[in-house]
Amino acid sequence: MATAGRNYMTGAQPAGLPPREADSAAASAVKAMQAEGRHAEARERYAELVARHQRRAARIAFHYLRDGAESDEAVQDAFVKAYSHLSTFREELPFEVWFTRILINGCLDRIKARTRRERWMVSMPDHGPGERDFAERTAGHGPSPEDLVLARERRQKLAAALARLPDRQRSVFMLSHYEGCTSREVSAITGLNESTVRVHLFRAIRKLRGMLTEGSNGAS
Amino acid sequence: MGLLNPHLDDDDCADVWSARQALGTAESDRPAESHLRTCTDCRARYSAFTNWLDSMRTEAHSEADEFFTRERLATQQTQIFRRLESLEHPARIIAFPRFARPVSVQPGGRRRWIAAAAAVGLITGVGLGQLVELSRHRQPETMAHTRVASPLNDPSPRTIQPAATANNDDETFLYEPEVTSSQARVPDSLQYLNAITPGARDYDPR
Repeated sequence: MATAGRNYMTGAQPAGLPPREADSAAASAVKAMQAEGRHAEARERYAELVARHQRRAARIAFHYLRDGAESDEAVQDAFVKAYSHLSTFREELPFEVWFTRILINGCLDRIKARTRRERWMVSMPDHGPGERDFAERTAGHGPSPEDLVLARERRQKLAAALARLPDRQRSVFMLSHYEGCTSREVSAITGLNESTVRVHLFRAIRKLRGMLTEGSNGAS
Repeated sequence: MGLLNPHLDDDDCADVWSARQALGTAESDRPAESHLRTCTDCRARYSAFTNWLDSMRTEAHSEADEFFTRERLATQQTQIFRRLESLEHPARIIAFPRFARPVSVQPGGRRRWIAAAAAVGLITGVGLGQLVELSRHRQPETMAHTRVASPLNDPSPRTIQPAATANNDDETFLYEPEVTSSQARVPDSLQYLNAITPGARDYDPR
């Protein structure tokens, strides 16, 4: 605590601390500054946390929502929510775990809302989130149009297979494999037992393997 | 993997991989681990399996990173901090469009005057009504009081004047006291005394 206090006074990054401890120190410092009403300093310090977790958060949101603009909003909402509810953050839990839980809950809420919306609306044909302008695609360097088409197909298959997984299996798989979380961390994020996490992970991989190899065999 | 076929299939690979992933270690407690250490074919199969999983992750990450470019992340960060800053300022209340148009003063003032005049008229009317009602109630009471109480309570000597009693005209005495007193007749035997006694009319305060 003393270290955290000294650091937030100077606004410096905690030297030599592992990323998780540095996160916790920064989160505690921001919490203390908010309590003292030093909002400008708190925001400045919070920028460290945002910078460290933004890319990861964007990936998670994108994997869940499969829509760039909506993922962007979900990430923003999660960071704003985390900042305004930082007083409820408990130091014994890593900031990363706490924040990821906020983010995933936000994504799941958006998926629910989208499902409700889509009952009443006819969606326009989707060109894929990664599609670029014609001029950009026909530039001399970078992957060929054929590679791009193949990559898009692979991604669509993978996304379709992931979408067919039950919610829990999908969450466990994404967190474990895409984000490299251990079963303890996944358990803290999802609220499932560690043994249940392992079972879900195994089932998710088996299903994905079945769906993707089945699809590729059928295609060939 | 079984007694007859000790080699790893996809399910075994998935089991080993998920156990390692969950523990975050290079080796797990699964029974297939010992076979993996000795069997080259199974090691190769397991390696292909993990490569497939890794390519899936790489694909997923690159797809997300294609959308979230460095510029987009910078813009996102700016927006996050703009929103955080706005959290600390109270929200500005914008008037509902119906009330946003300028309201002319005159109709409002006239309306106010009409309302004030109506209120004053109402109060005055109610007050006057109460007064009239009160005076109506009080009139008969005072008359009755005068009729009953004045002969008994009035200590003036006029009530016991012999002229009045002699006259025996109570009605005249009660209702026309002035007339009665001015017309009082003094007996002849008391004329002398009456003449030397000063009367009220003779009294000069100066």
